[in-house]
Amino acid sequence: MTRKLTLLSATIAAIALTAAAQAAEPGVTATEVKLGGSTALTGPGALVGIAHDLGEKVAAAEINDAGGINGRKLVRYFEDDGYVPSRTVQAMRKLVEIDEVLGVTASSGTASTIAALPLAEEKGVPMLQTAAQNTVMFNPPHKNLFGVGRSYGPGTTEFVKFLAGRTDKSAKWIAVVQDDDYGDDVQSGYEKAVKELGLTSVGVLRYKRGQKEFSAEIVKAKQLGAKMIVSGAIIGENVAMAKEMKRIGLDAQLAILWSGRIPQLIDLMGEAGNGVIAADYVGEFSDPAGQAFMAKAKKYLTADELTKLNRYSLTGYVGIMLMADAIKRCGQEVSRACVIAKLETAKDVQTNGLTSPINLSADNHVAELKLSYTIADFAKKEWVPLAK
Amino acid sequence: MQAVTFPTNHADLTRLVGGGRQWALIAIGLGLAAALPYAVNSYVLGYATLVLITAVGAVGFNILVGWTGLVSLGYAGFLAVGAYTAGFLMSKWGWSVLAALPAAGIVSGLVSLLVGIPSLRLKGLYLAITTLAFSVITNHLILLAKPITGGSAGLRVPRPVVFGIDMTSDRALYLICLFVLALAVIFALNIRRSYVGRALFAIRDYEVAARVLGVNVVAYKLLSFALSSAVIGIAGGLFGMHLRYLNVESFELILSIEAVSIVIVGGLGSVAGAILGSGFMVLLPEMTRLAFSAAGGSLGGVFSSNAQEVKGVIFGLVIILFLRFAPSGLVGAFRRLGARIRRWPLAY
Repeated sequence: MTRKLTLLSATIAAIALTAAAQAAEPGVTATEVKLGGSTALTGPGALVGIAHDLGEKVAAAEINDAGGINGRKLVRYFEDDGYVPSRTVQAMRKLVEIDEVLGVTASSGTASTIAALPLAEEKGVPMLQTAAQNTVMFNPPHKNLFGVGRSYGPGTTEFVKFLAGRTDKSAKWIAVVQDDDYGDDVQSGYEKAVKELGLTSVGVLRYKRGQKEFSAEIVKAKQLGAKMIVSGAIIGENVAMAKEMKRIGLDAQLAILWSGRIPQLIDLMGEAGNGVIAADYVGEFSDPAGQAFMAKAKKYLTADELTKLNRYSLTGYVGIMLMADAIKRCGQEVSRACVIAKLETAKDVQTNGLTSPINLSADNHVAELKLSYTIADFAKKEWVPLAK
Repeated sequence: MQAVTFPTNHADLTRLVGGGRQWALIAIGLGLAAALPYAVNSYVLGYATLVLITAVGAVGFNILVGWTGLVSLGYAGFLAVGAYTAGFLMSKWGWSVLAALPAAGIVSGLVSLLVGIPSLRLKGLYLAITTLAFSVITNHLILLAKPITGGSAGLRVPRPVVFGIDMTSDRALYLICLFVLALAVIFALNIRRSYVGRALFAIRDYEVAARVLGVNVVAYKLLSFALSSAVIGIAGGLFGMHLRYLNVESFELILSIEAVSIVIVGGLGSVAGAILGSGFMVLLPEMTRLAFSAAGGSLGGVFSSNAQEVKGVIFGLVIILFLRFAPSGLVGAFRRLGARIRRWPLAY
């Protein structure tokens, strides 16, 4: 009889444990919180993806050293999608189904994010996009997706207004943009600023994505007498444009957006890049906040990894900090739904000074951060802050 | 011990499959494939679905490359045409998948004629470059045709409800893909055993002789392009539903290279080879990743930090090794293995 009772008790306990395990929220245990991400760790996009991953690594190590999130250790899972949307979908499946992450803090770009969204929506997984804010991602809005940074359209408008304040009113302006959704947003922001300020724009030149040679665009800009060139390019194209401007002898100011503002760009552009002005929503490594980040990076990263840091490391860091804040506010009852709800109430979330405070709401899933401006200094090999 | 059986009459030569044993193998294979979604998680199912979709495309691609001997690098282009056609019809016009998939095949088949006509005078590398150019042009047109394709912003593809089956479920999509693959295989095998198939083989083996025998080479080359591309287009439609989002980045030229690899590794000219090759090549990176992870240490690190580079090296190595040591592909290797087992312990 006693044996039967013991057996019955054991069976009931096993069933209860199994039920508890089944009812447990994905990505959360008593001791761990799992977050995932998928970016290009190889291929042409690796410069961005690796830096982002390293920034997240620093943030996670810092959080864990400080005791984790409400006592739970933060564990990260990171996949390489090579900047190919179909691979992002598969990576997302792995993160959600196999690794069972609570939320996703990184995805390669616009296409990859949109491709991964249906699965995220189905499973109620909160997603953060801290590197690219295209209109197409957030319009229409998605319950699961949050953006942190600056939308390209309004950001470009603000940037052009800043540049106009430093430029002769009679100067002729031109925009050179990529023929994709990113270029569309930059173009609309540029045209809005031109209209509002009554600037003299001599046109918008669109180039094919992946284009390597820009002599036609730069010659045209020279012929049209452009003195201000607003670039809607990423990294390699900005390098090609700056070099072509120097080769052809076009004496104009090249202005680039944050997507291409990495220290490696100055090396790649060489002397041709001296004086290029950039806008960004994350600070500089030379700022006090940037130096504090570097101190942590030196603690948690290898010497080889330190050489791969750039602004995307800061966006990665900020993403983890924001997600950790939302998880923390969930207390002990952490769930995907709770994290989404808490992200929607993120108010003045501090990022250790790397960006302006982050604010999100149920109606606004994109935190529009404050822009700052820098100029490329080839001698110092760094982006030097510009006074307003 | 069983000796080799050679076909001795017309009926044997035009049979859909080899015989009773092959039918049994197919039935077992189909049964296992149909049971798979009930036994694995969504991640594995995602890969299995991708294998099936790739296999549909490879079966179609094999008609052109394997049976007609026309070297094409236009696979990505035809896949994109099919994907965008089905995606547009379902998302913008609300077409049922039952109508959208055949439409994807028809449009892709018709577009292939545009490539097929100029390529009638081209062979080998020249044809390969022409079809490669087609893929490049297709990608540019996708970007330009914004009202239809969404341009660079892409196109969301819904997964509809068909006969009460909600295709938002991965399991339902897998079963649909399995069904389409079965249809594609039956379609291809029927072509192979018909006059059309024999005409295509004749063109591949000796074009002049085929012409002398009365084969209308122009018509059959075009037909081969159209049939092949139609099946690839249907695979594209399924691919779009699998991804649920289409973007020009999903149809890069590497897909065309992979398609050629698949038919070579599987066994050029073999339908079973196209399916085996698809499974092998789609799963190869994941299998390699698992193997590297199991090895742990620095080997595991190599794959986690250089996945795509390692994948590229492995792809190249596998193709070189197959061409050198097993030119008849996986199908040939399996046949040799089967023959050895049947004849054992005799060597011949």
